[in-house]
Amino acid sequence: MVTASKTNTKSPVKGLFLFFISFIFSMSVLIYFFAWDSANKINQNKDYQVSWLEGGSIFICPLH
Amino acid sequence: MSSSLRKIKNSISEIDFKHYGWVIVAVGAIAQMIGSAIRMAFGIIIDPLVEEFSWDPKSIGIAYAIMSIVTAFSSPIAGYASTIIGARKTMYIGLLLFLIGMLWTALASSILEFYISYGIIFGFAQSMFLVPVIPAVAVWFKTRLGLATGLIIGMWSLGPALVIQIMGIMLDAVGWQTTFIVSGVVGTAIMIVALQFFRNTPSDKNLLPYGAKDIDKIKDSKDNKSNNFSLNLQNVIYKTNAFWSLMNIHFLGCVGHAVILIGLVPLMTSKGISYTDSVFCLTLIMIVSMTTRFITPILGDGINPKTIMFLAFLGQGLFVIPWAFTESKWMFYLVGILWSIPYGGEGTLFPIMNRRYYGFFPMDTTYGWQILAASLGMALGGFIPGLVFDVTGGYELAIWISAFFSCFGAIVILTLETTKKVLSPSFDNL
Repeated sequence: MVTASKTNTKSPVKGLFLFFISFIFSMSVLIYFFAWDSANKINQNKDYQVSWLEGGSIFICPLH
Repeated sequence: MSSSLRKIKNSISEIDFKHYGWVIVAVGAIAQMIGSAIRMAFGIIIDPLVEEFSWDPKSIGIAYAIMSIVTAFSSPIAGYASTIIGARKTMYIGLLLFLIGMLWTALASSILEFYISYGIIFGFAQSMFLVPVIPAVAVWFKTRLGLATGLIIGMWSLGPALVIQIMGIMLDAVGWQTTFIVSGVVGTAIMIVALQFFRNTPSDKNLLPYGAKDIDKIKDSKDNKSNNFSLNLQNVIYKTNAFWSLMNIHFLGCVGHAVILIGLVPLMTSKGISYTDSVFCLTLIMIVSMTTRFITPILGDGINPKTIMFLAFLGQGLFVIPWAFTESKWMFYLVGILWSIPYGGEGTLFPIMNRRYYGFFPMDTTYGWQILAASLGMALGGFIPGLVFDVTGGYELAIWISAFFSCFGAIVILTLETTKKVLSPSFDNL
């Protein structure tokens, strides 16, 4: 018979933390490249109408 | 002959291929072949759709994105359904959706109809069809799970390659609509026959799982009596680090290889290599990875799945880096062969890890969550090369991103608990 492991009585803090890190990093990559692309489009054409996604990425990204 | 080779030879000669579990493996392999062909067939219908309806290829591509997202988010539902009503009934639902999707796609006349038939219906069909297969096989094998899953996972590469060739020939001969109708009807007929031989558990056939002894049967009948057992165990699994980390690892690994699978051909053509030669590199990767898809679960089951998984992720991460500096066609091929070895093994060990951590249990729901993470990883990874190209005018940065995701996956594997200890509690306490 399989015996109980103490691991099950704790919250999965380590697993959730690493999951959260991956999520944040993935979002950061997407936002950074979206913002970069949008900034390029705006620089090339001052009258360029940004979509909500492009505008949002520029607003959130601290580097653009 | 070395002792290890002799050991492998003896081990193979001891396999009992008369056990009914191998019939379940065969049915699972057919299901994988048909199910994965749904996704892969998309590439061959883009041109006919553009020709017939004058739809923009980008708009057609949205159907593929919808299908991927629907498959991702319906995977845990498919896993849960399989736990509650059984793998066989879940696969029948998937089969019905597959037939409706094939016929409706063939008859679709507007882009919205195409989004519903291919994107939503196929999205659900794919998860209902594919998610229950591996967990169902796992229930049939107390030992030799690596070999059983290796045979099925090998079909991920071989199946689509065969089906697409057949569909390609039919497409030229009878057109895309007839191809979809005939493929739908023939695929459904084959699966109906195959599912007649499928049984959810060995007890449905009054048999023991492969490798189980009588004493296990007594224990299993006591412990697996109700769905409550599975659901209680699932609640325990949600509270383990391994559950979240395995989902995370699957996500990271899929981002890592999706970047390459989508971005390699454009990267090569941007270096002046012809389209045909670039596609050949991708074909080479598929062929080599097919062998490691088959071998890795066997190795992991026999040695240590955590170590093998770590090496696969590290290899997938490190072997892509030379591509960032490569200019010659032959170097692309050489790196491609090297990279496809760890790439093939990267995603195949999850059923073995589930077994090691949670014991002999119905892993449908757990596996469904892992497929959700993998599908989201594939979606993100497929998106990155185009995005990187738009801003940098090249694909080199995408290679580094792929390497980072895979290597981070390898680091997360290092944080996993040892696979020598089952994490689930005593079944009596559930």
